Amino acid sequence: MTHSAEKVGTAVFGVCLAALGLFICIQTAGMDAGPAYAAVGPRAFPAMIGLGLVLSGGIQLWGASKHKASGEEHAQYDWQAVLGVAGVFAVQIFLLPWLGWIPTAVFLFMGVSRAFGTRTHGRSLLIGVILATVTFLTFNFLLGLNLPMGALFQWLAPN
Amino acid sequence: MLLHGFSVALTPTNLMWSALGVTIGTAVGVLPGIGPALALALLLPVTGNLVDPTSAFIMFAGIYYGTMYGGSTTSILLNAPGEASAIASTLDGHVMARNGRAAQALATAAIGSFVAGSIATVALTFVAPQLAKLAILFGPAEYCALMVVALTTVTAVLGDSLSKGFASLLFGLALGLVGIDLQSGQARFAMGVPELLDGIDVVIVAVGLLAVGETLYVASRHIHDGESVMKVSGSLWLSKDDWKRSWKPWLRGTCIGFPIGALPAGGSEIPTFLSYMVEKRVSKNPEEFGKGAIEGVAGPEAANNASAAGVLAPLLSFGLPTSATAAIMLTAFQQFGVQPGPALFTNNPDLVWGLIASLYIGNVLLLVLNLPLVGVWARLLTIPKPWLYAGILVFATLGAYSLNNNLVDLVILWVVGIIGFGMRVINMPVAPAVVGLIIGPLLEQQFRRTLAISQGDPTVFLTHPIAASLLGIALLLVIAPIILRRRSAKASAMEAAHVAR
Repeated sequence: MTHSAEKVGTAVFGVCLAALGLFICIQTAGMDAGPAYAAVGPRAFPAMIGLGLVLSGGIQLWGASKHKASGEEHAQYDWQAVLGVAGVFAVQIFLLPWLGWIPTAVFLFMGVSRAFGTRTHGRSLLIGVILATVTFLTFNFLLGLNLPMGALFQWLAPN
Repeated sequence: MLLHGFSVALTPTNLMWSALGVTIGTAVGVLPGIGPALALALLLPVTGNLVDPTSAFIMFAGIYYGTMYGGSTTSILLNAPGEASAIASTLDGHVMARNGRAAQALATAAIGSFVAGSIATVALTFVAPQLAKLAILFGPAEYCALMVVALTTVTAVLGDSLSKGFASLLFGLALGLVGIDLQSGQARFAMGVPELLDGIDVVIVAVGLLAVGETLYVASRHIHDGESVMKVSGSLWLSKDDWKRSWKPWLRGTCIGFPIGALPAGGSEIPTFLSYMVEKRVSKNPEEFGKGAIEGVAGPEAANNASAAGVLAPLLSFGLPTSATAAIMLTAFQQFGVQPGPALFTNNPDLVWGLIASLYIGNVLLLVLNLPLVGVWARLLTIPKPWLYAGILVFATLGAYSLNNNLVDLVILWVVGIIGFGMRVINMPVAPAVVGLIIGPLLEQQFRRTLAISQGDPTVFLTHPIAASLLGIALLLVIAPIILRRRSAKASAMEAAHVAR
C-alpha cells in the first residue's frame, strides 16, 4: 500500500461526516417547524450540527490531503481478523432471535477466539459453554432479566 | 449531613454492595482493555433491575474507585494502561517492575491512591454542597455556557488534534439528536424505527466505541502477541526510604488532581501528566525519571484518584459530566429517574450523602483488598488475550441486549463498534463523542429555554455576566492551545534557522 491506513481512513471519515451532515440538513429542512410562538423550534439545533458536520468533514478531507507524517505511518493491520470478529458478531445478532442466548454466545466466543488466532478450539468451546450458561442462568433467574431462549427452543421454557 | 450519610452507607446491606462494588471494580479494572467507563457501562444493566437507587449508587461508587485501583496494577505489571489517565504512571511504574521493584510500585500506587482518595473525598464533602448553592444561581443561559465550556475542554484540551476532537464531538451530538424532541414532541431522525424514538442509549455508544472498537483494534494489530506480565515478588511494603520519597508526591498529586477534576474542565488525563512533570521538576534527581523513580508513580496515581473524586463534584451539583466515565454515571442516575443537580441535595439527601460516605468506606476496603491480595489480581493478567477479548465481546452484547431487550440496540452496537475501530485507526478520540451524546440534548433544552425566556434575543448570552465570562473561557480554551502551538512551532523554526546560520 502506498497510502497509510490513517490517511485513507481520515479521508473516508471526512466523506462520511460530510454526508451525515448533509443528510441531517436535508431531513431538518423537511421537518415541521413547530409552533410559531416558540422562539427556537426543533430545527435550529439539528441545523447547526448538520452544518458543523459538513464543515468538519471538509476539514478532515483537507487534512487527509496534506497528511503530515505521524509515528505509526506504516502500521500493519490484519484485516482478516477484523472481518472475522465483525462477521461473527453480525451472525450472532442475526441468529439470536432464533437460537437464543446460549448457542449464539458460544458461537460468538469461539468465533472471536478463532479470529484472534487461538488453536485450542476444544477449550474455547468449553469456556464458551460455561460462560454462556452461567450468564444465562444468573441473568434470567437471579437478576430477573430476559435473555432470549430463542424461537426454536421456546417449547423448553417452563411455562 | 455526612454522619447521616454514614448511617445509610454502613447498614449491612449497603456495606455488602460497597464491598461487592470494589471487588468487581478491581477485577474488571485489572483486565487490560477495560477502563472505568467501560466497566460501569457493562455493569449498568446488572444494577438496573436489582436494587434501590441508593444501594445501586453505593455499588457504583465502589466500582468507580475500584477500577482506578485495578487499572494501576495493569499499567505497572503489563505496561498496558486501561485509559489515558493511567499512561503517566506506566512511564516509571513499568520500569520499576522490570527492575524487580513491582511490589514497591504497586504499594506506592495503592497507598497513594488511598491517601489521595481520602483527602479528595473530604474535599468533595465540602465543595459539592457549595457548588450546589452556586448552581441554584444558574439560569438556563448560564447552564448553556457551562456546558459549552465542558464540551470545549473535552474536545480541545484533551487529545492532540483539535479538528479530530471536534469531529468526534459533532458525531456524538448528531447521535444525540435521534428520538422524540422533548419540547415539541416531534420525532427526529428516527427513520421510522420505533426503537429509535427513545433515542440512542449512551451506554450502547460507550460500549460500542470502547469495547467493540477496542476488540477490533486489538485483533487487527496483533497487540496480543508477545506481551509479558511482570512477576510480583517480595513483600508489598515500602521501605523507609520509599515512604520518604512517596509521601510528598502523594500530597502534591492530590492538590493537582482534585481541583482540576472538580472544574468543568475535568478529566484526569491532564492532572496525571501535570503531576508527573511537577515531580520531575522538583526532584533532586530528575535523571532517574523514566528509569524507575518511585515519585513518578506516587504522584500521578494520587492525582488520578483525586481527580476521580473531583469529577463527582460537578456531576452531583450541576448534573454536568466532564468525562466519559461521568457520562455513564449520569446515565445511571437518569435510569433510576434521579436528576443530579442542586435539587438532589435537598430532595435526595440519603442518596447523595450515602454515596459520598460510601466513597470513604470504599477507599478503606480497597486498601485492604489491594495490598495483601495484589498477587491474586495480577493473576487475572495471565488470561490469554483471545479468550479475554472474546469474553469482553460476549459481555458487551449481553449488556447491550439486556438494556432494553431489543435487537436494534445490538445492531447499533455493531455499527458504532466499527466506527469506533475506524476512529482508533485514524487517531480520533472517542471521549468527545460519548460526552457530546449525553450533553447534547441537555444543551439543546437549556438553549431553547434561554431563548424562549429572552423571546428569541440571542444577546442574553453576552448580557448575563456569568454566561458571558464562561463563554469567554470556552473561547480561550480553543484559541490558547492553537496560539501556543504556533508560537512553539515558530520558535523552533527560528531556532533552527539560527542554528543553520
